[in-house]
Parts: sequence; structure tokens; C-alpha cells
Amino acid sequence: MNFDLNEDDQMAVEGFRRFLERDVRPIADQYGDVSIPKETAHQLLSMLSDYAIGCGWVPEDGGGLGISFLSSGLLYEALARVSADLAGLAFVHEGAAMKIYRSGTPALKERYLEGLMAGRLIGCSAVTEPGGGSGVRHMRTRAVLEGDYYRINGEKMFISNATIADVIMLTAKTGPQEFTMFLIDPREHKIETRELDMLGLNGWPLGQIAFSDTRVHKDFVVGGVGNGLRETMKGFERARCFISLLALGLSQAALDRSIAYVKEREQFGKPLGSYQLIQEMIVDMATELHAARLLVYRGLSMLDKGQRCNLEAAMAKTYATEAAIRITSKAIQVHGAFGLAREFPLERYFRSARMLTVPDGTTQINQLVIGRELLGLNAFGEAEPKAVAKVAG
Amino acid sequence: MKILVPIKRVVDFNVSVRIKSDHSGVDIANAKMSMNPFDEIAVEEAVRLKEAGIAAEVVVVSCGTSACQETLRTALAMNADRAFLIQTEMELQPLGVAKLLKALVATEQPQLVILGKQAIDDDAGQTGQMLAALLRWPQATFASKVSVQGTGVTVTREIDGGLETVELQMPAVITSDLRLNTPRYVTLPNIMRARKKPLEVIQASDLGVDLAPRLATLKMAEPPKRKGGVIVPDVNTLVEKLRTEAKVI
Repeated sequence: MNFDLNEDDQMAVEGFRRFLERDVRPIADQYGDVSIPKETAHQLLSMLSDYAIGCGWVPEDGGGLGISFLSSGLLYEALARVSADLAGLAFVHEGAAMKIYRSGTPALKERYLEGLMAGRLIGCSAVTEPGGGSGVRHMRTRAVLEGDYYRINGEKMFISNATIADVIMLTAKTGPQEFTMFLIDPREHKIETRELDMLGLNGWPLGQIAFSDTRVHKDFVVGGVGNGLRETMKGFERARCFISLLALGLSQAALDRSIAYVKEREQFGKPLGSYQLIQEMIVDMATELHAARLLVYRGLSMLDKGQRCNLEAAMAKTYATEAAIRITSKAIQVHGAFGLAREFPLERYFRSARMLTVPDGTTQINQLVIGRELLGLNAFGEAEPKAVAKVAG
Repeated sequence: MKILVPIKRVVDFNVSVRIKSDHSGVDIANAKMSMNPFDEIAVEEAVRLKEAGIAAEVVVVSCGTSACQETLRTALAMNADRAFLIQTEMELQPLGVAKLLKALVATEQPQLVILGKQAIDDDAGQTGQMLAALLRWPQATFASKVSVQGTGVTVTREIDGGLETVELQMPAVITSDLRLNTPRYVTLPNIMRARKKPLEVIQASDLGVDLAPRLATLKMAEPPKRKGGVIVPDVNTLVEKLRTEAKVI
């Protein structure tokens, strides 16, 4: 078991970090609690694409760079340390490109893939609804085929990048237990979006999307009619790993500041860091972060080997995101009142970390995934999906 | 036109080094190593000349242990074309390095050799000048601007008196100063592409060069700790102290 990063990854992360500090941080720091505007997002994604962000997952035969998920993860983690909001925007965007590469028709790939990978188009995925987040199968957004066009009605909620997206990978119901993925292009398909105001990660645009008799040509079906859920779930293991990287980045940023602070700040004539109870907090933060990191890298590693990693990805996501709340909370504590002040980033790291235990599988859902993997017993509280399909007919 | 850029692997500029307890040198055992920052500037300048269509090829070279290959690969990832490692375990000093480079210049025949003005570990600032002397080539050191016209190169040098502009006939040696350019960062795609570029290892012993050190380090010590200042009551006392204590006037 080799725990060392290979030379290429070390060099890449080093070069990327220097670029982030000099060229990205000055821009990203303006969007701590302000949503990144569309033009700025395009500008940043275009800069980041040189460094394999946004175009790393798609293989070379699709025009991407085809780097490993581990290499990509290391870069995203470095990005998340500077701006978790931007890292989130980017990985959701990259996921859309991946869906098109994997399951799109040649025509759709021709039209959208290159623009997405270069950052000229921004992508996102719309699955969650006001009435169904964890219960994906209970979605109500309906696409009815009328001739060559689908008429789509419904609402998607808490969709990352919704308000700035040029490409929306929509999952909708096309039958009683039938789900289909569509590529929605706001320039062609009439939709309405509304920005949502949340506790944290406010730099990362989040919105509601409304479909009201939206007409979408059947050429915009992705992955074939009826394959929507399968297409949606394919990306889950990867998404869990990548959202965990945001948690790692936030935790590392909080830890870095905390270590610097306790070495410099003095009370009663000694640095804060020379008191045992302060050390305990720092030690717990660092140990949890290291543990979380290893879980996440393991998940990424398994993705690279093409191995199913439902268990490992779920464990990584649950642990990293829950730990990030504890780590960022301790970081506030270590900074005393300065940690509570809006002028300093600690309280924002905490609010942003608090956002991460809900998306890409809530902690509770992921725990049930882990439980099912470990025990072979399903505690989801409903009949197995296959059984439901047979009954409904 | 071919440009040769010698680069050195040094302790990273961010590292706080410690002196060894026997005062024989600096402890770099687990220190992070990087390309000498002035050499990054030199590589960047050469690559820009290539990208502008003025140079056809950029060759980089490093002298030392096999660990230098990492530094060479960084240069290749910055868009240099070929790399040489002149391998040796011996301690290298500027004159020795200049002689090794002279041997490579004989086979590679570059029109320009661009080096960093000095390495941030020894601050010697000698290799470029010594190489030019050994080759009997013109040299322009501390360059803040380089422009090639035909068979000549015009260089603006940052000197104590200000800025001096010189014109050299190639082949020539140039050493880079801080303000010459801002080097690019390496990206993963370029790092991956660099793996396919040629990196040749030459044994220093095969070049028939006398590398015996001419200088011996007697002692390495930290600079004395700064003492606190003194507030003087009037100008006369100040002048007195400058004359008798600080001995600067």
C-alpha cells in the first residue's frame, strides 16, 4: 500500500497551489457570502481548465484530459482550500460534461461538450425537488411525449449552478416508474430560475428551476428513454467523493488558520498553543482531517480502479462532512471572539461546512447505504425498488 | 536557434533552514527542494523566445544527483523540449559546473545560454560569468529585458547605477534577474506531456572535467542575533556612537 503521491501529482498540486494563491484567491475572496456572478464563473472556469479542472474527467477521446479521479481530487481539494464555493461550482459543472460524454448522442456531444470543458458553457444537474430529495423516485416533474416533443412540467429545488447554467441535466418522469434524463438548454427551452439564500456556501449559486409546459425535442434525451435513474445514480459514488473534498478543503483552511493563530496569539504571557486544552482541540482537528482525507482518497482510488465503492464513498462522505462541522466549530473556538466575528473567515467556514451533510446523500441516507452494505439488510423503510416496479406494472 | 538553460535544484525559498550542529553546513535532510527561482525565470524567458518563433528549441540541463530529474521535469513541463542530467555525487562548485556546461555546449552548440543570476542556496552568482569566460563568449548579467535581433541580442541589465543596455553578438551568455519575467506555473496536462520528452543522463565522469573543489567551507553559522537599539539624547551622542561603537564613520 503506497501512501505517497506520485511525482506528477506532487508537481501538479504545487503548481496549482501557486496559481490559486496568485490568480484565483484575489477573485474568489470577493465571493465569500456573495453569489459568484455568471461572467466571473466563466472567467474562473476558463482559467481553471488549463489546470485540468472542468475537463479532467472526460477521457481524451472525448476531448478531455482523462486524468485519474485521484489526481483530479487532489486538485479540487487544493481549490476547495482557497474557495469551497468555487470548487463546488466546478465539480458539479464537470459532472454535467461527464454525463454528456458517457450517455449523450453524438449530436449533443458535438454541440455542448467542448464548450463545457472550456468553461464557455456552465453545466449542472437537476434531480432534487421540493417534494423529494432523499426519495428520488418520488419526483413529480413530468415529461410527456407529444409527437416529437416532450412537454415538461414541474419544479426542481436546491440545484447547484441553476441560476448560471447553460446546460442542465434534468431527470424527469416519463412514465409510472420510468425516469429519463434530458439535456435542458435555457436558450432553447423556456425555464424560470430563482436564486436561493442559504446558511453558507453563498458564493456557490443555488437555485430553484420551474418548468411550465416547457417544450423539449426528443433529440435532447440523454442515455435513452427510461434510463434516467440509472444514469443519475451512476455518478453518485463520484459525487460523494468530490463533495467530501470540499469538506477537506474547508477543514484544512480552518486548521491552517488555527495553527497559525495559536502560535502567535498570547495570553498570560504565553502563546495560546502552549496550553493543553488548546492543543487538544488542534490535535483532534488535525487527526480527524487526516482520517477523513484517507477515506476520501481511498474512495477516489477505487473509482480509478473501476471498483464499486458504494460503501467506501458513503463512509468517506459521511465522515468528512460531519468532521468538517466539528473541525470548523473548534476553529472558531480556538480563535475566541475573533472566530465569531464576520470580519474573519472562521464563522463562514463553519456555516459552509454545515451545508455539506445534506447534499449528495444526507448523512442519514449514507449511513443506511453503509448499513445495507455491511449487513445485507435494508433499513430504508420502503420495499426494494425492484419489488415496487413489479407491483406498479 | 537553440537555447540552453542550466538549472539548479535548491532548497525551496519558503523553507527555514537550520545549521548543522557541527557548523559544517546547512541541514537539508528533509527539506523541500525546488528549481532555483532565478532559473525558473531563465527557463520562462527561453520558452517565450521559442513560443514567439525566435528560438527553435529549448534544452535544459542540471548537474548533480539523480534527484535533479524532478527539477528537469518541471522545466519540461514549462515547455522546454529536451533535458540533460549531468550526474555526479560529488560536491559541485561554480567553476566545476561551468566546466561541465562548457562540455555540453560543445556538443549541443546553442546560440544562447541563459542562466539564473545566482542560486538562492549559495548566492555565488558566478557560474554564468565563468562559463562565458571559459567559452570566450560575450556575457550580459542581471538581465531585466532581452530582445533578439538577427544574430545579435540586446540586453538591459540592472546594475547599481541604474539600467544599462548592451548589445551582444551571439553566441552569448545571459543571466536573468528578478524582473525579467514572471514564470508560468506548471499544469497537470503539461506535466503529463513532459513525461514523453527526452531526458538524457550523462555521467559527469565521462566528460573528462576536473571537478575537484577549489573552495573549502570552514564554518557555517547563523548571523548574530540583532541586538536592541539604543535611544540617544542628542545628535552629538549619535555621532560619537557611530564613530566609536559602530565604527562606520
